[in-house]
Amino acid sequence: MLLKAEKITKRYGGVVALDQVDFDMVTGEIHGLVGVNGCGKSTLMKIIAGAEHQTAGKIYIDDVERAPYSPAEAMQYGIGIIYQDLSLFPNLSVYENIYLSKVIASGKKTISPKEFKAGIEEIVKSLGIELDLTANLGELPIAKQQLVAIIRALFNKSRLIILDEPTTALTGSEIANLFKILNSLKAQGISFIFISHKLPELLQVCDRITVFKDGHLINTFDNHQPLQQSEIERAMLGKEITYKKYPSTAGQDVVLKVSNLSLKNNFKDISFSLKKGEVLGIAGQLGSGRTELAMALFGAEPAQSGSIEVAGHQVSCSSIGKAVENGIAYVPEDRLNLGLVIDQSIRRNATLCSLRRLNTFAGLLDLNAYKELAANLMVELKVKFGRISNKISSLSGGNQQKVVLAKWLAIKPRILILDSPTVGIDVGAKSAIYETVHAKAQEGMAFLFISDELPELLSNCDRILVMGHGRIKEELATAGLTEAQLQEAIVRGGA
Amino acid sequence: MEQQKRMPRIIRENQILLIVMVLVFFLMSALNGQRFFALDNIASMAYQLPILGCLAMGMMVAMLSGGINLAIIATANFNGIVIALVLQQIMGPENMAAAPLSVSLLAIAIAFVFSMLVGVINGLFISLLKIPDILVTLGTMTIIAGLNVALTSGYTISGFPKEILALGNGHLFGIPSSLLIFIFGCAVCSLLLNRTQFGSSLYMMGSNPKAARFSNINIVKVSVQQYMLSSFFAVLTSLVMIGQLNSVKASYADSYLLVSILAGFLGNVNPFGGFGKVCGMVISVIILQFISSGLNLMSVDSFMITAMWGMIIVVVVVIKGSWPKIAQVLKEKKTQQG
Amino acid sequence: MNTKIFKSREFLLFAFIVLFSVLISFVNPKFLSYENFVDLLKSYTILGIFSLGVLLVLLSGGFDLSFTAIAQVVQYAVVYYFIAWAIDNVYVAIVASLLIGAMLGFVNGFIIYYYRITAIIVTIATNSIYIGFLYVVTNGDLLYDIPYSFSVLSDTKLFTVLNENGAEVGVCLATVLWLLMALGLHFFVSRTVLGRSIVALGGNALSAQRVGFNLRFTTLFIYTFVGSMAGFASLIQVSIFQSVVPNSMVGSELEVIAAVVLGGASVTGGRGTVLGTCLGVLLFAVLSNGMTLMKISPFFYEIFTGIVILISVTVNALQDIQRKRSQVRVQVEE
Repeated sequence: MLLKAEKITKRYGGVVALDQVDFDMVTGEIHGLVGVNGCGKSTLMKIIAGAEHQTAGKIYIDDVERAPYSPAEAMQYGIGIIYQDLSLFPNLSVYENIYLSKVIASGKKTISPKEFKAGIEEIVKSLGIELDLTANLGELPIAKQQLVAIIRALFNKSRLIILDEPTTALTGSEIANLFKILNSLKAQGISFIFISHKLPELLQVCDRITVFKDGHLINTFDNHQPLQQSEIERAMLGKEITYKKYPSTAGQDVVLKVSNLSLKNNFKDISFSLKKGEVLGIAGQLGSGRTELAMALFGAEPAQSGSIEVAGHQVSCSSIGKAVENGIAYVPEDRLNLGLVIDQSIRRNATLCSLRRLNTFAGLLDLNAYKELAANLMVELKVKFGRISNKISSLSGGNQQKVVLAKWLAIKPRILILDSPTVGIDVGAKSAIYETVHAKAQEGMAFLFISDELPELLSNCDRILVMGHGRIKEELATAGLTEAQLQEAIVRGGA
Repeated sequence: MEQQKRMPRIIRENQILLIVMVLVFFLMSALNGQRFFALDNIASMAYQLPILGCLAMGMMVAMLSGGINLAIIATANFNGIVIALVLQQIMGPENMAAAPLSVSLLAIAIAFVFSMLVGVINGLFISLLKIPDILVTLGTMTIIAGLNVALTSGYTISGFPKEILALGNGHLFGIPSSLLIFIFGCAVCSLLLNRTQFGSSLYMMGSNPKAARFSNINIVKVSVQQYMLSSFFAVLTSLVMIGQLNSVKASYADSYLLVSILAGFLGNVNPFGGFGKVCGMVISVIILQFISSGLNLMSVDSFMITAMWGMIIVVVVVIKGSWPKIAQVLKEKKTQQG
Repeated sequence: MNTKIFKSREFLLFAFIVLFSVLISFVNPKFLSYENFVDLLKSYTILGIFSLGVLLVLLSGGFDLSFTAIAQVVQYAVVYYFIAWAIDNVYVAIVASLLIGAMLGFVNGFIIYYYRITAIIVTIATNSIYIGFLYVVTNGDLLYDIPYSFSVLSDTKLFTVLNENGAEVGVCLATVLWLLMALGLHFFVSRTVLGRSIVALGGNALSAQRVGFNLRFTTLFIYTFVGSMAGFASLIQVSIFQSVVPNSMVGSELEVIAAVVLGGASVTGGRGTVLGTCLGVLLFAVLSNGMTLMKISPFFYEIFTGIVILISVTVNALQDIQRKRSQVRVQVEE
């Protein structure tokens, strides 16, 4: 047994993050870990990697019991971890990124530049990839950086590599390439713990899949017999999500008409129209240009050519201010960095977009209206919170996302762009968000709904635009469309 | 949920600071006895506090976005020098003091415009080019300081009209006008920060500029307003300094630059941005004034006062660092007893 | 590869220095003499040594505003006791100044690491403390009658030639030591594990922690190093000026930081080179010396310096924006 964890418990103050979890890894397997945010999977991963220490329980590595260890010791035991942010050094060369941690651990004082070259080149060759070792790491695309992180782990002689959400920043073909590499390393006896919230990927690449919920290990599924996604979902959420098909509320008037919109290195010749009350889906792999399109419509990264018409009038979206003036709002995918000001209060976040409207004639904010607005929004979106003056970080992911939605709904935009609005949030909040979207659509608000989750797109949208390589590839009506057909269209589109 | 009654917000947010203030007060009283309470000492404290107070307040405004306004003192001196030059230009070099009120007002207004311009330039560089505040203001500080020296040839210009002097040196209902200027500045600042779109936007931008931008906050506008407000305090400082010194010079108050950053930190302004209140700053400035007046009464060297200011920061840092542990121990004791 | 060199900060600085030198020498041909050049180097040696410490601290993503205060304290202490105890040995003085400087710097590192307070705040505080106590203890008195051997640092001339008046002209020992230390720092930063980890730390502090760097040692080392550099610089200063004035260096910390930033270092850490820093210092030296030779009022020197700083950070910022804009986000099908 490569690794065995017995009855691992981890407490933070009074909160139990992990409760008596048993977990094991064998040589040469890819083991998936899933669960909603805060389920305990990250905590277990950090304990295995030595970044945190368990409150109780034992860990055996190669059948030898190991007292709680440091990250450096974990490295000696052959355990490597690749965090979601990759933990590399953008200002150093690729070559240095690979060997630096090992050299530090070895206690050496000086570096001879050529020393590790042969060894590293060999690893690069064995993976069958092209990599310029002298390049500055920060100049490489994310996918290449990730390979550097993997090579670093291999160079450290890791036999167990933990990958935390490795595919979130990769395009379809990059993911395929990553899986190819993981499988070839697996054949050489390297094991991986693969943490992801994308179930189809886990099903594709993992030998076993373990599900966590509320600090408990719910079940470990063997993926050698074909598993159903719904089985895992049920274990993850305690209940299965049922996607109901929302009826179309699209009216006749075109509220947004985009013609030949282009931005170099982002997207090209985008044309479509959106009707009042319509929920229009945008599907496509990462790197297909869907987020870039949303950013352009929102004025964050304006397009270079083409035209945007809102309610029949040609408008300019050259800045966020102008886009919002024209009634376009955007809920970004990166909730923690772009959606929320995480250190500030719930009230401040909820009212952030409406400050201008709360101005009285003297240029001062109307404090009563300000408080009232925040309170009303909380009620309207059914946000569960302690005190409205608490930091928004005290809320669950789902409730945080409701606040992001609320701050835009408060200014009643004509068009609201939702970019992956339900990533990493619980079922309850998910369906609450769907309900809100459709209630607003009923009132005439139009939505652009970008998502990776196909059932979500099928249930919410009237039509779906499939993007690939920065262009709109297809337009599909959801009536009668199956998940498999949509998936096929996305793959056809490419990235 | 919480059994304890919640303390008023001002106290709750500034607990440690208030404790330190009281401790310093008692310490200084113990060391000086009667003299510390004497009316003339209190009057002199009220008279001295506004210069550091205004500078610190201006620094806080910059710190709210995680920045630092190194140019603030240069701006204050610049403002004073412009006033003097305008007066000299109109009245003739030797005749400044005879300027009628209208000319004085004109001079103040022109200087005010120039100082605001400095704020605009700082704000534009910082927000449009995304250069760290400290570098932009280092650059503008050097330029303005150089300009100040060039404009005055390094000499002191003195002899201001009495109307201008009254702003920093007069009394109103027995209260030093400099203190009133400081209070006026605090009130304006507090109003702007707590009650306006600008204030809310600034706090949010200070915590997370990207998310603020994605919430339709005009980062450029807020930065420009922020540094204009910071410059506004430089203007107030300059008026107080002119009143108290009856002169302007390129190098006045230089030693206050770093101290005003310390005052901000002491006043619970988060150096990474997003948090900080006028109230905390006022307490912080009062603490620093207690120390300097107390030591002054003991005829301690002014440099010792600077050293003590530094010490108080280190002490507060240590207390703050150990506070969670102390609170934990106290809590455990309480639960054991209960 | 070749175009990279021309675009580098070092080349740009070098080009500016050459350009200014040519301009200045048109107005005053004296500028291009060997004598003027070594004088110019000598007068900027102190700034140069300070800048080496500051470079390391900026590379690590830290900050230091206390080094001039440290220098003042070290200088006073060393000279005072060497006079009092009648020790006239510059080598012992060097060791002493390095050690005392290191100790004072260590205090900074200690507070920064253990109390996790922003370096800028801590070092402003210690700056006030050091300077304050120095004044209290010394009453602001000046020291003269500097031990004779101290002048070795500034009076020893190497690579000498004779000028038209028949006097010997050469690079002073202090300057040579500065350049040697720069070379040493370059080796340290590029070839040692600790040096590389400091650069890495500045690039991504969270990664450094996760990868298992010894952050405690690194932090303490960095601030100790700045302290000892400051101590050494102060000894050079006393050797050149032959007196100790307790506030002679106060306020020059921002000028040093400006020179290092001009040399391409980033205040957010991880970027900067020793060569760039030295060229940054040299550019300052050429500017001030040139303006003196061109009989431009010294009042304008500061204004000009400020403009140079603003231009240099603006160029940096524009390059960053340009790089970001040209990034390929999506492989667009044509």
